[in-house]
Amino acid sequence: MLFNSIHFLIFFPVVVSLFFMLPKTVKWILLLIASYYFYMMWKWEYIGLIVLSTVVDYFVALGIESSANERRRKLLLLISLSVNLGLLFYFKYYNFFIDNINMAVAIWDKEIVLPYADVILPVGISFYTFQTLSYTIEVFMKRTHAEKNFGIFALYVSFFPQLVAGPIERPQNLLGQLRELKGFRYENIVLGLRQMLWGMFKKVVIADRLAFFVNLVYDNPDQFHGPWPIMATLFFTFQIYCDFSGYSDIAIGAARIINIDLMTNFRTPYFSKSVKEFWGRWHISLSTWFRDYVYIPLGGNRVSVFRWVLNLFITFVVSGIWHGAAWTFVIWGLIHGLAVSIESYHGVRPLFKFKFPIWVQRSYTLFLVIFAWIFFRAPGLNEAIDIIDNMLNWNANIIGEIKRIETKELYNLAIGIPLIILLLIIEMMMQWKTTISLFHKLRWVRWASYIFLLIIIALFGVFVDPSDFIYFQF
Amino acid sequence: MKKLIKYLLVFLVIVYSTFWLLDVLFTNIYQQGSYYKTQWLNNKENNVYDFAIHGSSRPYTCIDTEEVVENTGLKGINISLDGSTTPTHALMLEMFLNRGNKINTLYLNVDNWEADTEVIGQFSYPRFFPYYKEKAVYDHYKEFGLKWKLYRYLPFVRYAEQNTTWGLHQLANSLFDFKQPAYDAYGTKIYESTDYHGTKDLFEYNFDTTGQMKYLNKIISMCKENDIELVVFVCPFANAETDQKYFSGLNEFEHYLNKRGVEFYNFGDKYNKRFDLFVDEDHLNKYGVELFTEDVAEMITETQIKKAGQ
Repeated sequence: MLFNSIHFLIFFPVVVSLFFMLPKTVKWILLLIASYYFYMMWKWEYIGLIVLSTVVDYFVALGIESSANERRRKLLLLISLSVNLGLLFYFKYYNFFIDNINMAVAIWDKEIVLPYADVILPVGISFYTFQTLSYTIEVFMKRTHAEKNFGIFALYVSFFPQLVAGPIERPQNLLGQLRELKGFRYENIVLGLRQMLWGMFKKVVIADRLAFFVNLVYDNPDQFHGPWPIMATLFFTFQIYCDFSGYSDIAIGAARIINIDLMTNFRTPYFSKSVKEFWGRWHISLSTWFRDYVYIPLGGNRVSVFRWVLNLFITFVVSGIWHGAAWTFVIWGLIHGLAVSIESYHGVRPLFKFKFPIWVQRSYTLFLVIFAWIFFRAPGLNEAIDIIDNMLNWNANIIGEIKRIETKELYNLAIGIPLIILLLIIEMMMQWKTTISLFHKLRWVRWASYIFLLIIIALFGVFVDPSDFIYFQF
Repeated sequence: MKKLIKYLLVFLVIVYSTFWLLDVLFTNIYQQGSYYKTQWLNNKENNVYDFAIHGSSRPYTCIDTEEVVENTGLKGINISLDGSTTPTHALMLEMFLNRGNKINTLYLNVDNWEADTEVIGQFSYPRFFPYYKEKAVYDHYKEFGLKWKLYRYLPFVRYAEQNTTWGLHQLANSLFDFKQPAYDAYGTKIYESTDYHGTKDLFEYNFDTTGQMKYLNKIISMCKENDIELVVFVCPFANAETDQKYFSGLNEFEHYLNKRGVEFYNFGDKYNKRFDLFVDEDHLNKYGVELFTEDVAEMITETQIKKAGQ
């Protein structure tokens, strides 16, 4: 079920109304049923994968907690890792792996072709797998207790607002809240609805509108040169931000309405002064997951400088692979890994003695992030190279290329820029103390803002064939 | 809880009123425009035409109506809509007549595959949105389900959903005519391209005469009620499989129409496999249009002579 669908528009108020009507002790049952229903609306058969992960990790965690034998504890953790990462590998990476083996083998013998798996990627598998893994690891590390109530644990794995695209929660934050579900809180409903409205604006107005031109250029890289691939990449920069942070806002807002606080996932990442800072503000729940369960176990920064930089590099490459089974994602991770490694090295052994002005630091970060998005968005490596090549080619018939496209595509291109400016203005205003104070003090300012957003959503939102959220594919 | 319900109600009233105002404003402006053919046609009132050509994108793009008018000396108009199906043809005709326009003979192209369809033309339905509150339009669409009923009562929702078709750009276009429409003064659009982009594999363009023909019968009834002579024809195809099934389907369809007093002309296979005359499987290029326009002019002359002789 998509957040930007009529189905959700009916589903959510029904769930919320029932949630507040039911007694405290059975609220979790409603949420569990709602969560499974939410997932099964996509493909009911794949609910079995969530159930499998839930059952395995429930018993593994209980086993780990009750055992004093370190070998047994490690074995149980290994079972959890194998089952969860095994499922993830099979559904997400198996065909990519076979594809590369077949390509390598074809150098010697073209007759040998290993069979591909006929599967589709279960939506959200990377998210709920990481969430349930964090639970068993935390229990293993003795930083949290194993959950005794199977239903509550099942809800922790499948909680519908953040099931398919995060934020990837930790047991310390979410499990306790699910055990103690609270009743009606007016303030939370207002805050939640406000955040959902803002998320919806980012998704249906900015992300989906920009997607038209991005798709046009990235699906036909040979047909656009000079400013058009540059503009499409710039549009994608805002499209993916609004798509993913929009989803997170709706998820966090929806959870807040039922008094669940999910972690913040984005903090204006494009205003970062370094790539390292960018990763502290972009998809925070994933960055911290990799920090806690990959980077620190590798040794973190408590090792030699070379090893430390290597640890950072490895973490980012793994993060790239997490995003998708394709070489483009590996390169995307490599670019970020390289940048963070150099920045970190520069932090302890400065490569130059002067300090750049803030605007230079911000421009460098933004440029590098935008450049890396080319690999993230392009359907393949060849297309990514074509896009970069075409960006540098200003001798083609640039005006002719844009005249060929349909009126509605031109419209999408023309309103893309004002919409991005509107987004930046609102996001900047949201940081200003004066605006925040006005917003909190004056009701008419708040209400006018809501109506304004609703009108903008009605005028510029994309509602015909609503698109999936980009991060669903991960 | 009471506070929340109170505020939600007030908020809903404000939102509803705002969207109602926007709906009234946008509807009034859209109705003045002429970018879409529905806008142009719905601004025509109390005209008398000797003939009107009607149907889907095929009669819209395959007949040079101006040439037909010059050749026959009759007053004519092309009221076809691209992307439309038989239900939409019925609606467009009803709206055109409701505006006091008179037609002596209606030449209706029927596309074989959808003579019996009850499916709304996906491209053409949003173009009726500025007229949604007219009885004919609402009565037509409400039969297709709840969503279509809600469009009538939830203000502005239809424009929001279809804001790529309508939206602010069409608001500006309706006010200032920034972009010229694709059709000419007679309601025809002729493709400029002469290249063939379709498949050359043969295709079975067969008539299915087993259904209810709900909307075709509606058009037949409307014509009878308004004293319009109806002639049905089929525009040419590039790749028709002209086997026995094709001809028996044609015969059955002709028989079906003749029984209801409607004359039928088939041009479906006239330029079959002449890919040099088409832009795709079922639309002619400008060379094809030249040839087919002569055929249409002949058909009109012939039917007019017959009519005069009666």
